[in-house]
Amino acid sequence: MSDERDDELVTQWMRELAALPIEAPPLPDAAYIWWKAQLLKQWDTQRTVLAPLEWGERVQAAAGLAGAAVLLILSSSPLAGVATGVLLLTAALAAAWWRESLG
Amino acid sequence: MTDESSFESFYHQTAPRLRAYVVRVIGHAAPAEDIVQDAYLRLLRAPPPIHDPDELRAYLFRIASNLIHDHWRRQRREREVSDHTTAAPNMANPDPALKVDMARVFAQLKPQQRQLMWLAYVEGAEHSEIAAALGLRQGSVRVLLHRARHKLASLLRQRETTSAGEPR
Repeated sequence: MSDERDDELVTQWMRELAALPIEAPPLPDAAYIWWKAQLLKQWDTQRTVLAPLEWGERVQAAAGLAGAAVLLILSSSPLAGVATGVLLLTAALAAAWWRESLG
Repeated sequence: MTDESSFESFYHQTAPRLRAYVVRVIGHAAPAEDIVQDAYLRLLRAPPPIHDPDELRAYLFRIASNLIHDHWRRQRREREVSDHTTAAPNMANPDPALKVDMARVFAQLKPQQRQLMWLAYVEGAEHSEIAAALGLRQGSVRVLLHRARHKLASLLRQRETTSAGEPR
């Protein structure tokens, strides 16, 4: 019985609360929200496409640094001759690949 | 929701109701605007495989409810930083159109109770829909809603007694 009275009282009051006007600026245009969402979706797609490339760039930089470190270690050791050989061989291979890619 | 015209019609049907929910639950209009817009953007950026408009509306209210919780969490953190622990956070800047008295009564409910009451009594949502929107179990919704209703009824009776006792 008390629950029923509570329910009636609350239902009526909530109805009055819901009927109060809201003092707020007009809602944004649906077309504006649609356009903004499409733009954000495009950015999401771009990020997805570029993610492996960015990852590849990081790997490339890390490999370059590691290679430089190895060469530095080799050049200061008795294996300096080997280091020079590796460097020359790498340069020769890079040059050959470059010539081939041009021609 | 794959084309602009269907979104437009869905938006016109749901936006005023969603805004009313957010404004009344958090107590002020400015952040409510951002929350409403963000809810639609999230819906459009990652549309769920739902075609039924009622289900889609329930999903939208769920997104908005999560954003309201994020808003409260942010407010709590900011309060901790600025050490304004005594301020009433959720009704700090009440919507001027809301009658002060009604705002005060509604603000005395806990934030979750305001959500429950609005979804149940204004949106007419089923317990299962409320559970989904607020991330609760259906059984808990029944109990929490009962408590919220009881608390609001007590507040309303208390208000009636107070106003009846006031000199004219």
